[in-house]
Amino acid sequence: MTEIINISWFNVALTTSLVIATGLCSLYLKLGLEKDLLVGTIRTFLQLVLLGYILKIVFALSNPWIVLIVFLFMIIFAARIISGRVKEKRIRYFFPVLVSMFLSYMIINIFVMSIIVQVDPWYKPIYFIPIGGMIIGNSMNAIAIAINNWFNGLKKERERVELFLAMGASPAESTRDNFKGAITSGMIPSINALMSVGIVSIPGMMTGQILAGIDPMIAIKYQIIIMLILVASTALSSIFALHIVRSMSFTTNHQLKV
Amino acid sequence: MKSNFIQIENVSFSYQGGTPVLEGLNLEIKKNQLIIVSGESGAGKSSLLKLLNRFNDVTNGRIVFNNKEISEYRIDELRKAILYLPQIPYTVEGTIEDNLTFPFSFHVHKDKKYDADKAGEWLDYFQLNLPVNHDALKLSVGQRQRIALIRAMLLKSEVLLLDEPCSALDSANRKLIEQKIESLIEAREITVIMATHSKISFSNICPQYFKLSDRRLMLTT
Repeated sequence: MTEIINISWFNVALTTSLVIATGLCSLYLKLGLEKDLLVGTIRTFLQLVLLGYILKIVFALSNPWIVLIVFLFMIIFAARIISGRVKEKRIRYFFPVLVSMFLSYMIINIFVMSIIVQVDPWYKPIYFIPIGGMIIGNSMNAIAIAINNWFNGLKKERERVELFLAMGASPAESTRDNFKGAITSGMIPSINALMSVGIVSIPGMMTGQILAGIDPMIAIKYQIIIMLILVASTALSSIFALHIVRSMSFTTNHQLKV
Repeated sequence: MKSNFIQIENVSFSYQGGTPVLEGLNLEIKKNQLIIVSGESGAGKSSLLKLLNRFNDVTNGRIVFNNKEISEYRIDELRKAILYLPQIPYTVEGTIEDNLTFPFSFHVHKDKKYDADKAGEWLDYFQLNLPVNHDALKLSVGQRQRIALIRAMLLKSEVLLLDEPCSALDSANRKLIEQKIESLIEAREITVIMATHSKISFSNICPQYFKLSDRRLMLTT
């Protein structure tokens, strides 16, 4: 195994010079990004250092309940980001979406841990947390896009949806195309990633493993698993979440709420 | 005495938390009758029609259809029987035939089949002399409104709720649609409740005229 170069904290800090240069560009071109760049950089430092410490503790304890609590915390945070990005605020979908995310990620994560990677025990944090994190990060975007497009589509096509409802169609029948469009728009980045991986991009996880000195053929197997998990978890969680959001968009008497 | 087909009893309605739009409405409708509800825009005509197909729900009072309160019907069965047509007819992408056939794919209409011959007869009746594969998006508003009416006739709804069906039409189209509705009523084919902001008169039938103002419904002549 090759020796891993440990980057000094000074050199990590030195990387901020690139962000400072970006900030100067923003000032010069009046892009207005300086504040976000500053806050974003500080948050990256704080959040990742904090994560580093938490991971150290979680890895050392290796307790299933702590693993699940950390996992749940990550999902709550993702669900908050989703509800921040979705403009429609009249429908209270936060909690149902959170539950649908938790259930679909648990199904997939446990399947991968116990059957595919065969980690013993299944909750072993050095596998469960990073893979779970990738699943959450990826599908969070898909769910946000899907829910946003769902509400936009519903508002844009209100006349058609109401016409269908007026003819006795169920909410699902009235919004078949909207539902399909919302799910596929969220899925496109994951599917594009499947198409371009290894040609256009060398994915982060594989890069990390290679940098850590692991045989590229092992890294590739992990990466293939990850790519497939990401597509499946994205699809499962966004379909699950959008089903709930759809049923919340109508009253029990098939009246449109938005 | 024959019971009323539709009975509106002491009905009030307000949008959630808002001021009342309609108050103490009473109306009795016999089968195959034409009811004309006039009123200024914003008087609550659409709100009234939408109470009948339950796009809106009454705040007080009750509405009975065929001896059963409308809230006791399954919502899709109610809307199958009482069909609301919006003011601006909506056309789905595709041909005239696509626009006539699509509701037959809905679960609630599964017991019926699209009848192309019957569609042809209704196209003739509403004077739409176009092939059924004609692009529906190229139709004028008047033609679209007639497509919407043909679709309603093919679905064999018992009651039509027409929300200002002629407001966006030129006088020739308006006259045509009014005549065709008049003939349908005369032939005892359907019950129609029509909202309008302008006065309509008919030569062969005697509809009941009502006016909505100050949230109340009054019989007029």
